[in-house]
Amino acid sequence: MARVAEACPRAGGGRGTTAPNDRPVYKAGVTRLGRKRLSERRFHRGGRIAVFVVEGVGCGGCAEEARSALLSRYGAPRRGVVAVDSPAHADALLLCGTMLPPLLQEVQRLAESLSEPWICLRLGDCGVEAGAIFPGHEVTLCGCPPSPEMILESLEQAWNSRPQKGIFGLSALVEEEA
Amino acid sequence: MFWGALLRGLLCPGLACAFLVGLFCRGIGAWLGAHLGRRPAAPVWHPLVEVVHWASKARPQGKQQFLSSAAWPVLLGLAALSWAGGMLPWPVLPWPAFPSFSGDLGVYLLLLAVPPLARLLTASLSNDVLSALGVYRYASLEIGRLLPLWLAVTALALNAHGLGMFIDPPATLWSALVRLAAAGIALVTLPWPLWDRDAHDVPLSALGGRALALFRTMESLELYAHVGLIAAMLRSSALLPAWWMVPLAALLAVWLALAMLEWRGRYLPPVVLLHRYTRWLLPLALLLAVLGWWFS
Repeated sequence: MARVAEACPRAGGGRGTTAPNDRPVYKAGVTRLGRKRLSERRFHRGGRIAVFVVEGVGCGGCAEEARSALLSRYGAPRRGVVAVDSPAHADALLLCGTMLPPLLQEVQRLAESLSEPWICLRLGDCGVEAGAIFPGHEVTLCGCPPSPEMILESLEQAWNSRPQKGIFGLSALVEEEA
Repeated sequence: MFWGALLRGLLCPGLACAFLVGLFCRGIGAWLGAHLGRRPAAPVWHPLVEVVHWASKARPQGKQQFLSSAAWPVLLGLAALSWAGGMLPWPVLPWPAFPSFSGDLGVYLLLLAVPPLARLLTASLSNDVLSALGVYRYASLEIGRLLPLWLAVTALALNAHGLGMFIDPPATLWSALVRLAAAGIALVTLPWPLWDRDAHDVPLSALGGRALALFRTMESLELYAHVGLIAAMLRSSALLPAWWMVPLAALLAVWLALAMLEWRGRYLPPVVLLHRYTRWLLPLALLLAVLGWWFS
């Protein structure tokens, strides 16, 4: 899968209204033009992306931004992105920071409980330098740390471009964006 | 008569109808609750999409969980709930001749206790530490929920002098009110916490993919059976003038109760919820049982 960091728009990159601090405003699911955001259509069709966050070694900035991205301030519930407590219930892994060998073993064991299809989003410059852990599933997002808006955008792009769309393909039909 | 029954069975088969009624009850309750709480509301078909989503996923690579020991409690729960569903009037809802509450209240309550048991067994058999720890919290919550429900049914049975679900109309107004109150307690003890509650999901933390989809299906059937029990209680009070109002009133009441629970109780920790079940609802149900015997 392609790296999505380059494709990510910068925070407040022109979609919707923008706040004075150059961050997009998610208000009532409606943009300035009165249309629902494309990324919110998944939620309005009943689909969602369940996310499990794994905090690695490092400064903790990525983990903090990842947890912030799952708050309603950045519109995660409205986009259908929710955090879950068990990797077995997750569609996406968010790996924050560096994964040292002991932790790496645990993460690989944890990934065995994920059902196909699933994706892995690696956050932060320090995590990217170590190389891919899950080659078929992994997408990297550079930044130190990346902003919550970029995390959400990258997550949605990676989920929409996942290689396998489920056994029956029915959930992909529901979630597929226009 | 035969062709009519066959047509009804084909167009509205019991289990599929039960499955859809349960899923849409959850969806409507969550939708109403989200609007009441001014939160983003998922569409009412969200539970159905969720089940399809999990059913379309493959089994995790590292585990053979569903085909091994964790499978039979789920299948046991599904079989029990299908049996419970067959006793109720819902499968013939669109073109009913008359509501047929065949079945026994005692058997029905035992069948309603099977899904929590299936969850507990699955969590215990899954060899997952988090699931095993979550079982303790979940078990106390489920027992706290089921005890008032059993007492409410006891009140109904004491009042009607029998355990059949086809109950004679009440002799006095007080008797009718006792039966209505029993329906109210059954309404409060709906199978809740719902989809996203920690206490509900932790026992299932080792399950994903199709096993989780089967569990969600079992939960929807459980809710369906619960709606049927409330309908039986409402019908026994004979306070509704027409029989067709009974399932409708039960459905509306369940939607509203789920919405209120979703709206007001969303952030209740399991301990507080357990205290509400045991400190408030249980004495109330005990009092109701005494009143049911007194006014019989």
